[in-house]
Amino acid sequence: MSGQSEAETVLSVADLRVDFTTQAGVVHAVRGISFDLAAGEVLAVVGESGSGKSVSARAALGLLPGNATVDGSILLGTEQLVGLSEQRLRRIRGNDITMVFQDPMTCLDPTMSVGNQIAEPLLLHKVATRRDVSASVVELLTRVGIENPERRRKQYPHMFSGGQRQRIAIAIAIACRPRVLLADEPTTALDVRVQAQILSLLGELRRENAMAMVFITHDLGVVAGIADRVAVMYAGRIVEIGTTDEVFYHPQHPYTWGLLGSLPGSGQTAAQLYAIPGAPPGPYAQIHGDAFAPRNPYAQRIDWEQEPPLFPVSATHYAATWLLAPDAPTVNPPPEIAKRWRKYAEFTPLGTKVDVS
Amino acid sequence: MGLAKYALRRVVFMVVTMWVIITATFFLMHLLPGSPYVNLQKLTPEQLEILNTRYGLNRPILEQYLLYFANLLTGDLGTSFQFKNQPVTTLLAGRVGASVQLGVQALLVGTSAGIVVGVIAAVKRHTPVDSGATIVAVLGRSVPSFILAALLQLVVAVNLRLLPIAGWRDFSSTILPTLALAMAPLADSARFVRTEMVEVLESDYAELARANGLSTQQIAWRHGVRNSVIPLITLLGPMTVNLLTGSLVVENIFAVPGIGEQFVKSVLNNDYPTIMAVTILYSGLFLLVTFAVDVLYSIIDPRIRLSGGGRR
Repeated sequence: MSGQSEAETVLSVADLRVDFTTQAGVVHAVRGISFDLAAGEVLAVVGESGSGKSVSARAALGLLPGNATVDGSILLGTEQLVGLSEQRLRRIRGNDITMVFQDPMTCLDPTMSVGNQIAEPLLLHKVATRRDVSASVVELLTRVGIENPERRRKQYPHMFSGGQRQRIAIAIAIACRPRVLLADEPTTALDVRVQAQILSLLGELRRENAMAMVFITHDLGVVAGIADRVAVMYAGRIVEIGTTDEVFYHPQHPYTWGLLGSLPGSGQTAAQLYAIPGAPPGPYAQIHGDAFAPRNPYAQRIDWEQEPPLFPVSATHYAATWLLAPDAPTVNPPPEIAKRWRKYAEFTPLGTKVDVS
Repeated sequence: MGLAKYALRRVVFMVVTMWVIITATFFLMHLLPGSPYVNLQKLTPEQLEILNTRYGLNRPILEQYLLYFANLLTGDLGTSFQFKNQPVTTLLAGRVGASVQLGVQALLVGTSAGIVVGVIAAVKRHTPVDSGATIVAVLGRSVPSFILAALLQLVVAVNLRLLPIAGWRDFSSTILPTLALAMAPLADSARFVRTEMVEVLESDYAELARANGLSTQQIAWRHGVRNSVIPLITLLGPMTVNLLTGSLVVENIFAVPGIGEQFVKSVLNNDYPTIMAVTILYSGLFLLVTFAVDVLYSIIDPRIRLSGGGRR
C-alpha cells in the first residue's frame, strides 16, 4: 500500500516521552518517538519486552498510572491527546481510538453477558439507543464471525474459546467505528491457527472501515502479513521505521538484523537460530550514547558517546545507526541479511512489490 | 444444569443433613448428666415412675427416638419440662421473632453499608477517605459488640436521649441493638469488598472498559460490584453464625426477648424437648442460610449455575 502517504493522517505522534517516577528512581520508558499514521494504515511496532511499545500505546489513550509523566505530542486528527482532560479523554476512548489487549481469557467481565459488554460502549457513546442496541450487537457478533449471534449474545465469556473471546473483544473495540485501533499483542496468547484467523479478521476490518491500526508485537513473524509499515523499537526509541518491504528486505539497523536473523526460517536447526547477544538495558540504566551499543558487534567509538539520529534511507525509511553516517566505515551485514538485500535490489528498481508472505 | 434442578438436589441434601443433626443431638442429649427433675432427691420411686411414664422417659431409648420423630413429622415438638408445660413451639414462637428480626436487620444494615464503604475506599484508594474506611473497619472488627452496645446506650440513649436504652417495643427500640450487632458484618464486608474491588479495578476487563471510555466509578459500579460481591456472599454464612452467637450478649444487654438465653437455660435443665427444638431451629436456620447463599451465588455468577458447582 504505497498510496498510503496521500491519505489523511489520523494519528501523529511527535517526540513522545514517557517517564515513570518510582521509589527506585526515574524510568525513561519512552525516549522520544515520532510517527504518523494514515487512515486505514497498519503500523506494526516491534520490540522486546520493556522496549516501550505498550507504554506508548497506553499513553495515547491516557491509560498510564499516576506516576507517569507524558511529554511531546499525540495528535488524533486535530485533537491533542497529551494533557487532555480525563473527561474529554473518556469521550474519545472507545469512540475515536481504542485498544485490544493481549489476554482474551481475562479481558472480558466474567459476570456479564457478552452482548451487554458489546452494548456498553454503544450506549455510553450514544451510538445506539436501548431499543436498537441488541440489533447492533447481533450485527457486530456476526461481523467478527461468531455463529448464532442471537443466542450467543446472551451467553457469558466462559462459554467461549480464547479465539472467540478475542473476536468479542474486537467487536467491543470496533463497535463505535473508531478511527484508530491500538492492538497490543492481540494474537500472542493464541495458538497459531487462531492467530492467523484473528489477523485476517483485523485485516478485513481495517479495509472495510478505513480504520488505522497500531499493531504491537514482539513477533516479527506475524508482522509481514498485516502491516504496511514497521517500526522497530529498542530501549524506548524507534531505531528503524519503514515500509514492511524496506524493513524486511533492506534493513539498516544492526538490531533489526538481529531480529530478522533470529526468525526461524527454512533449513535452519534450533542451534543455528541467531540470538542477539546480551540483554536490553534495565529500566533504571543510565544510557550513554547508543543504547544498543553494548550488544552491537558493529559498534564504533561514536556509538558509545553519542546517540545516533534517525538517518533517512529513503523517503519512507529511517534508521538510527551510525553506520548510516556519511563518514561511517562500510560494513558487510550478516549473510542472511545480505541475501535479503539482494532480493530487495532485484525487485525495487522495477517498482514492484516484494512478496513478503 | 438448570437452577431448579440444582436447588432441588440441594434441598434433598438439606433434609438428609437435618435428619443426621436431629438423630445425633437426640442420642447425645440423653448422655447428658443430670435429670430433667429439679427436685429429684425429694421424689419417691412411685412419683418418679409416674413422671417417667407421663413423659415417656422409661421406654427404651430407641422407642423414645422413634416416637419423637413421629411426633416431629406431624409438627409436634413436645412440651417443655420447665416452663409450666407450655408446648415448646409456643415457648419459642414468642421469642424467635425478636431474634430473627434483630439478626436480619443487623445483617442487612451491616453488609449494605459495608459494600458502599468498601467500594468507595477502593475507588478513592490511597486517599484520606480510604484511610478513614480502614479505621472504621479495624474498629468495627476489634471492638466487641457488648462494648459498642454499652457505648451506644451511654451516648445515644443516656446523653442524647434520642432512642430507648433497652427493651423491645417499637422499631426505635430495635435500632441500637441492630447497630451494635451490625458493626462486625459492616467491618468484615467493607474490608473484603475493598480488597476485591481493588483487584477488579486492576483487572484486564477493567482496563478494556477504561479503553472504551468508562470512568473508574462506572467500572466500579457496573463491573466491580457484581464481581466483588460474589465472593462476599460466601462470607454471609459465617457472618450469620457470628450474629447468632453475638446476639446472645447483645440480646441480654438490651433486654431483647430472644432465643439465645432460652437455649442456655434448657441445656442446664435437661429440658429435652426445648434443647431439641432450639437445635432444630438453629441448624435449620444455618442450613437455609448456606442454601440461600449458594443459590444467590449461582444467580450472580453464571459460571457456577451452568457447570454445576465447579469454577472455571
